[in-house]
Parts: sequence; C-alpha cells; structure tokens
Amino acid sequence: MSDRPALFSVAFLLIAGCLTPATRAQGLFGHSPANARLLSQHSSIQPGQTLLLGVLVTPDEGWHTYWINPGESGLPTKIQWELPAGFKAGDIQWPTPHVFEMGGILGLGYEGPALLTVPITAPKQLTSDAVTIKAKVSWLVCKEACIPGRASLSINLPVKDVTPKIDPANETLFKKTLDQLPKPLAADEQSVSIKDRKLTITLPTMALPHAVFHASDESLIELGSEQEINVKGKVTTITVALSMYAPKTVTQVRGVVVANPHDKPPKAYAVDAAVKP
Amino acid sequence: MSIKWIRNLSSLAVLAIVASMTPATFAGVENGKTAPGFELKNAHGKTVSLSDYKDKYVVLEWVNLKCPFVKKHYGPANMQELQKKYTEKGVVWLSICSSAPGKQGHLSESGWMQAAKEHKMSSTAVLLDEDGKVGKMYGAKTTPHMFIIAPDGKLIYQGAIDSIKSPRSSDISSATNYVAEALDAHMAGKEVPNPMTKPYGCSVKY
Repeated sequence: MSDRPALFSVAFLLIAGCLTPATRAQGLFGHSPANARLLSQHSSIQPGQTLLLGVLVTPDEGWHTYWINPGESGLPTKIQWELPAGFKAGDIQWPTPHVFEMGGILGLGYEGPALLTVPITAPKQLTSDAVTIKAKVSWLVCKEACIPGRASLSINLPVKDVTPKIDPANETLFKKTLDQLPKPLAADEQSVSIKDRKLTITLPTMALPHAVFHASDESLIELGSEQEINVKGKVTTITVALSMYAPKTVTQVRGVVVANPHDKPPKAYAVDAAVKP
Repeated sequence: MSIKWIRNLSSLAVLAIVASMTPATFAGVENGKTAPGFELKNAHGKTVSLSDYKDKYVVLEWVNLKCPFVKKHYGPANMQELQKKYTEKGVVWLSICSSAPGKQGHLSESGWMQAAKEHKMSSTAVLLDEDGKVGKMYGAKTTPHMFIIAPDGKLIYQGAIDSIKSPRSSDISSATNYVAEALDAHMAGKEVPNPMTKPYGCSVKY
C-alpha cells in the first residue's frame, strides 16, 4: 500500500477532528477508516433503572468491523466502560453478524454501521443532577488491509426521577437495532449436545432448513466448516464438527443461529445452553 | 470468490449441507505428523527446501510487515529478538510471506533484502510464497501464524505468537509467548503445554 492515502487520511482526521472532537476515531497507526459514537436510547437517567447505551461503530465504505467471534482473522470491537460510582454495565448485545471473505479467509462482522447496545444500570441513590458515562472503544477495521482504531467517548445525561423519554434523535436507530438483534431462545427452545467431537444444536420448535450457526467462542467451531441441517416437522438440528482449537471439555455453548443468511436482514436466534451430558 | 451454499433438499426431511466455505486449498497440517516438505525462493533468489534443515528445529513464521499485528511484534523488536535468541541456539527460523503480488505486504526479492535489513530481522531466511501454495498447504490464516517443526520432522506447535489477541505492543510483556514456550519445553524434553492455539492477526493476503 502506498503511504499517500494514509497521509491524506491524517490530514482529513485533523480537519474532521476540529469539527467533531468528541467522536472522531484515532487509529493506533494513524487514521482509522471507522468512527465511533456513544448514544443513549433515552434522554435521561432514572435512579435504580436500566438504560440502554449504544456504541455506533461506522466503518468507511468497503471496510468492516468484527463480531465477538471475528472468524479466521480479525478482532472483536471492545468497550471499556468508565462509569460513575454505583453504575453497572452489562454485556454487549451483538447484532447478527455477516460472513465475509478476504482471499479465501472468512470473517464475521459488520460491513456497515453497527450499534453495539449495552444495558447500564443506575444505582438507586443518585444525588447529582447529571452523570457522565465514558467508554474507551477499540476496534479493528479491515478491507484489504487491517487498521486498529480507538476512541474515548463520553455522554452526559441528566438525572430525573421520572420514566425516561426516548431520545427522538436515536429512536429509529435503536428500534431497528433492537428489532434485529438475535432473539434469545427459551430453555425449552434449545438444547446442545456434543458427541465424538461433533456439536449438535437442537431447536425443537422451529423449522429452519437454511440455518447457519455461529459460535460466540471463536475456538469452538471452524467458520465455514460443513454444517449439517436436519429438519423434521418443527424440529431443526444443526450438527457441526468442533474445531481443532476447541477445548477438551465444553460445558456451555453460546452463539447465534441465523435462519437464512440470504435474508435482508436475516432473522437470528441467540443460543445459550449448557451442554447435555 | 463468492461463498457457496449447497443444499440438498428431500421431501420428508430437509437435509441441508452447507458446503465448506473455506476453499479446499487450505489443507492444514496436524500436530504429531511429519510437516509437509516445500521449496521456496529466499530473498537472494536461492531455492530453499525444508529438507535442507533435517534434524533441526524449524520455526515457520507467516509475515506481512504492513499488518498491524506484525508491527506489534516487529515495532519493539519482539519478533527479531525471538529470531535471534533461537537461531543462536541452532533453530532454523523461516519467515514466509504469502502475500500475492499486488497485495498488502508483498515485496520483491530485493524489497525483502532491504526490509529484512531495515527491520533487523534475524531469521535464517525470508521465503517468498507468492502463489500462496505453501501457506495454504500449512493452513496459514493470519499474520503472524506460527508453526514449529521438531528435529524429527514432526509438527509440535501451530497457532498464535502469544496469548493476548491485540494489536498493541504494550501487551507483549504480560502475554505468554507460545513459540518460546513450545521450543523451551520441547528442547528440555518436556511436553509442549499449548501445542495448538487459534492464531490471531490480519488475514494472509493470498
């Protein structure tokens, strides 16, 4: 790669940095072809309640960022929260990933903007009128090349002891994101077993002939390995070999079953089940 | 290349087999098996064969000097120090570049001569795998991706350079270096503690 686009990008970053200093991204090695913003679904915080914040990571056209399991290369986006006393952050609610391919190597992630939503719980006692929540976000963004980026983000929200109102500026984005999140399966809608180093996921209430399973743990199964789908009535089973990197003993399996990867957007279901002995 | 989905539909049960999306050209190698032989040109244009290094430890390091994960280890000279330390102990260290011509990290023979000097590389040789045959034969997916062959020709390690998947050099000191760990253990007649790890980094630019 020539150094010229990088120099141009640095110049662009300097200019863009003056315009929106809080949200422009910094690459570890110069400009990152992605930016990140910290958004809130609601416009205030109520003591003792959980609110939803979201880190919106937007790669430049043609670039992508990664899911919790990045696939055969890459790195997932990470959020490190700096919360006021008494606040607690939950896990990232990862949107359904896409599979992409570079030179025969497969990745899982997002080819467009991805809102990574995280529930944040406020303490019951809040004396201040407003709080500032900070997040250090780091990501890897790749096209032909990969460039790590990071941003220190913050958001200021007023504390009000009333039911928070949805922030109209972010309403559409949050709604769309939440509607498209993998739907958590109930305990009786999923089961997982492992036999002869083969993982079988059973969905007893759904016929999904075009399903694909992606594990949250990147070492569990090899992305792109053969998945055998068997549908009998309303029961779908997905069988896939464990990867050579899978641990000797697997006790819990988490991931997503994408109903049909060709759908736009694809429906997906979140698997989280203990492995049946 | 597009991702291929092959489905086999029958009337009662629907059996769908998602064809392997990974091109079959990624053969991969198994620990404990004899590492497959190869011949590649080095930066001086001389053909190097794996069989030239019989009865020696051989480290294969997949490299792309433009990749941030490679820079992580080359910037503070972590990779070069490993190369120096182990080649001084008689280990053969082959840095292999499988970037195709025109792709990121690809350099000509003379380009590699210069880059090796600039980066103070202490590899035994830099090998050019422009058609990606050797990379795909070993199943090299990332840069870096590391393989260790014991003096008996068998593969004893494959995977990541170390235990912290990040592009930051500041993480190196707190990570376990799997290559050093495997070489030290095997040389001392001990079992390799982590013989297979999932590599992390940029995709190899085939």
